[in-house]
Amino acid sequence: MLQYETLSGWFAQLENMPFAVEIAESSWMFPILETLHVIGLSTVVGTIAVVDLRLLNLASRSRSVRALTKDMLPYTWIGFSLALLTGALMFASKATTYIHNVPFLLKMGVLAAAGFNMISFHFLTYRSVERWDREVPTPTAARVAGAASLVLWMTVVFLGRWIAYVE
Amino acid sequence: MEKLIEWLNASSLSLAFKTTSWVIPFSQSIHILAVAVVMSAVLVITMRAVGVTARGERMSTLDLRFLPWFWSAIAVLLITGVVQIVTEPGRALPNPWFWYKMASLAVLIVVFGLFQWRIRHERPPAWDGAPKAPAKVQAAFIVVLGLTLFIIFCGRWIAYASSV
Repeated sequence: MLQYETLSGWFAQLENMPFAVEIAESSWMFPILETLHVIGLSTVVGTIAVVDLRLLNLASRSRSVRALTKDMLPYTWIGFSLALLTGALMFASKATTYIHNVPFLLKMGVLAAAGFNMISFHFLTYRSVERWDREVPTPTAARVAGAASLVLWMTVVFLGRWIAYVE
Repeated sequence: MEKLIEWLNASSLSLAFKTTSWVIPFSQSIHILAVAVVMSAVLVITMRAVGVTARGERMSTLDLRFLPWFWSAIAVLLITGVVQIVTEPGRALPNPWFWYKMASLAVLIVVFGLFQWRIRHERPPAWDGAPKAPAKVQAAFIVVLGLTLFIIFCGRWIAYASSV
């Protein structure tokens, strides 16, 4: 069983890796990572919001859910990959600090919840999309998934900002 | 400039915001969410123009659908931006990166304003339903997308660099 000391030792090891040290000691690397993180996250949240608003029948109502999802998904993935990569690098540079940071830990939890929401929507409700693809309003399950997604992703952004304000 | 900063710093609004610890992170978070809306609007419009996304939709239809969201987000960005400046005037106003950001933003607003005006008041061009816009138009939108990314970069850089 992993003990706390072993765990925090692991994070200290991560923080001491050459690439992590370089980021921590550089005057420009972290800011660049943060900027790319904002670009990535704004792409993720923005494109997800487009689909969520469709599921909630608030926007793009004339478009098929399938077509809209197909259009947005590549950018969601590109943005998410960028955010994940830059996030991981930033985390590594100060791992032992972040692992104690409450907003950071909450953010990871809410991210997992957002992911779970998307996966369960994809494998459950979305399976029948051919039936309600062009219908307004969409089924209740789709609306719930859309609303949950919006709330969860907005929470992720708030928690992310809050990280820097808690020591 | 210094006088303006002093005046803002001493204003009762600024003092009220400063002493409420959540004002800055809260307005920054809303600022970021509005960036996400601008980003997706600009991305969708540009990707349609270059023929990558939503080719079945007419460009004018798509643009008219996303433009209101763009403008609402710009309004939110301006409001949350002003809140941040009023709270910490010494942070942004003396910083050249803030002014590069404002200049770029002004260009973005003018370009989209003209774009909106043309769509609203002129008949759509012949290529409105085509898979791609003419090369010059594609190039213009790509530049606009690049400008948006530059604005985001400047926004973050304000916190890190107080000189060029």
